Amino acid sequence: MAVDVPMLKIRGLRKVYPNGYEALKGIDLDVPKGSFIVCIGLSGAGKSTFIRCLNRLIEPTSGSVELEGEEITDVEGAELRYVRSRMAMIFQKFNLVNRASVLTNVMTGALRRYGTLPGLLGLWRKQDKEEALHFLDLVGLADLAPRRVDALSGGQQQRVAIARALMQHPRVILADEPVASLDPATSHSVMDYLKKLQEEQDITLIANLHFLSLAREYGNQVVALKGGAKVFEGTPHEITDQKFQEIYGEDAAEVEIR
Amino acid sequence: MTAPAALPMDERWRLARARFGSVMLDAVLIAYAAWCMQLLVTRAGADTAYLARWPWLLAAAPVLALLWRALTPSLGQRGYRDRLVQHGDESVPAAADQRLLAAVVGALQVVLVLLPAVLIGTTWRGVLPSLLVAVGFVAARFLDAQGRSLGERIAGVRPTLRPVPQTKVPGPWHRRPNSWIVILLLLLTFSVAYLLTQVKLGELISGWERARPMLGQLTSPDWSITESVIDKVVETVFIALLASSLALPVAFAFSFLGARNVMQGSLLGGLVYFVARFLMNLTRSVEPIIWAIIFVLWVTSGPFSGMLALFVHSVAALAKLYSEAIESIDPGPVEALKATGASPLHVIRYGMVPQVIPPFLSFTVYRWDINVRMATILGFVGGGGIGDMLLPFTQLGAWPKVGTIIVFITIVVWLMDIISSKARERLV
Ligand SMILES: Nc1ncnc2c1ncn2[C@@H]1O[C@H](COP(=O)(O)OP(=O)(O)O)[C@@H](O)[C@H]1O
Ligand SMILES: [Mg+2]
Repeated sequence: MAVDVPMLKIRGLRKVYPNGYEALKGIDLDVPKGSFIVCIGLSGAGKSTFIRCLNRLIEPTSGSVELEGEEITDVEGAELRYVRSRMAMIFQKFNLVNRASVLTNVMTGALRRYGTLPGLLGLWRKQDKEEALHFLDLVGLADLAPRRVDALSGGQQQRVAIARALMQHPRVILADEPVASLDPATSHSVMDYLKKLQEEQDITLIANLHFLSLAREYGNQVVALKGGAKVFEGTPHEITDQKFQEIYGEDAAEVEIR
Repeated sequence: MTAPAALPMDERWRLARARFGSVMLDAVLIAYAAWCMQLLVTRAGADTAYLARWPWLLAAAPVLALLWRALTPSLGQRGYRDRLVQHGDESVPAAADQRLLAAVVGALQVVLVLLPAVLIGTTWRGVLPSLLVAVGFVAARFLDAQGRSLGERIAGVRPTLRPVPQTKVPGPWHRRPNSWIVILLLLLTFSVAYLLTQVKLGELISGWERARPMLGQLTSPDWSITESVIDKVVETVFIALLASSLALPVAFAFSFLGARNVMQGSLLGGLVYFVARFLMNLTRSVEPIIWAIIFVLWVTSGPFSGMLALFVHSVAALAKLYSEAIESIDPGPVEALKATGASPLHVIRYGMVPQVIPPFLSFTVYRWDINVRMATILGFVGGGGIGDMLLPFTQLGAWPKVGTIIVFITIVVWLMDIISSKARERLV
């Protein structure tokens, strides 16, 4: 395969919600392999819609998305599930199974590789469990495997979510405001883990972030959305004060804090 | 003052529905009031057979409904929030004369609709043309760019569902016609209720002599039957327990079919949802005592038939509660599980089931509690439990024995109530 095939090739991605609101107005973007792309924009700009159109949690209205050269906007069934497993997702609210153990939560990342019955009964394979413990170790939570996740702190829960994502053996991780529910110190630790995955495990990252300072620190490419359209694409340093004003309008000052 | 742009079709559809609905609601209220009055007057001895003829009401009610809204925003309009505004300027409500003009034209249309039925007779040969004319009037509303009826067009107004600014302060309640209409409707309703219940206040006093000996005997229980009563009470509790426990897994499977957030997305799913909901509501609306009659015939009388009756009713009742619990879960974990590439069954197993287990258990314990209460009377139709004993003693007038049974029923119901509420506190 040619080296220059991007991880994701997005063309004319549009989303019109059933109520007629056009949340994405034709986005074009190439996501190079191994990059860390940060998507910024005011709330309501369409960041969550954009990221969910990539793994088809939301059906795009039109446009195309290619994952490593393979068109994925019309795959269905098992094929779609395979596509989703290669694009793990991290959420603002962690979205863990609250009444289950840390280990079970990590194991759900491997569900695609299980048949109906073993999956329903939780008959996990030994090597999968060992792998899960390894990933928990990687995010510094090895001791907590048997604990129930609702007993953990926000930062710990998000690290469980990262371990669950790794369990999918993903090529891409989509993170929708991964640190918006966390305090600044914890935010940095979670972002550091994500950065480490990008640098050491060759995983491509796309993260929606509300705060520009985080985008500057972690992204090697920044995409700005406004009203469902891409209004900026470049390195973090290329965002001048004027560009910044343009993206955020009157809320610019508030977003710069932190 | 420029003419407003044409409304999209779905907006016109919503308007037509609201206008039709609010006129019908007013008409039904008027017809209801007329029916109440006719009932009261007839019972009072007057010959009012002419009022009872339905074509009368059918014709008069919509006409009166239209005139009602000409005078003041009607109750139907309150419910549907439809108002008339100036055609050119949405912020100005229709004037009184415009409303009257629109209403009179509307009333003439109603008369036109009913004319065929009156002339040809109220058989299908008369009703069919009437229906056609009515459909024609509704269609005319659609064809107009603002969804106006003929009368509204002539009066230079158009309907809207958006709030219209109040131009004048509403008067005190007794100056508003709607207040008096509501009072009249309430008075009529309770008069009719009084009449139909055949309230006999005198009997409460004169009948006391008949009831006093029985009450006296009831309050001096005959403890000699205690042992057999306890046996039957235990039987009752276990009938209810088995019915509730067996209902749990069946209702569990059913409830996912009846949860909108599980079944939405495909036509087949929508159909299954609809059928599941329909079956649940149908089964639930038949009381356990009726189910017991059916099962006594089926498997002969005894505790088993009572258990089956409670089981069937519990499945439907629990499935509905379970479905609602499923519909109110946090969608986050479901989304996360989908994003891992898990199959739909796995998404349900890990994204939904853990969230609904505590409410499901809580509902089931509560059902057990309710089932114990219901099981106490299933014996009246042969469904086993303590009711088995209660019935013959009641018929024989063995009041001290009935008193003993009542004491034990009260104790067990009270205990179940405490147990179930404590258990449910722990679960949620
Ligand atoms: N299900 C939906 N139906 C209609 N509009 C929606 C829906 N979801 C989101 N929107 C709208 O789409 C726009 C973009 O939303 P979102 O992608 O969540 O933005 P962001 O993540 O940048 O805050 C918002 O204006 C939002 O109101
Ligand atoms: Mg968002």
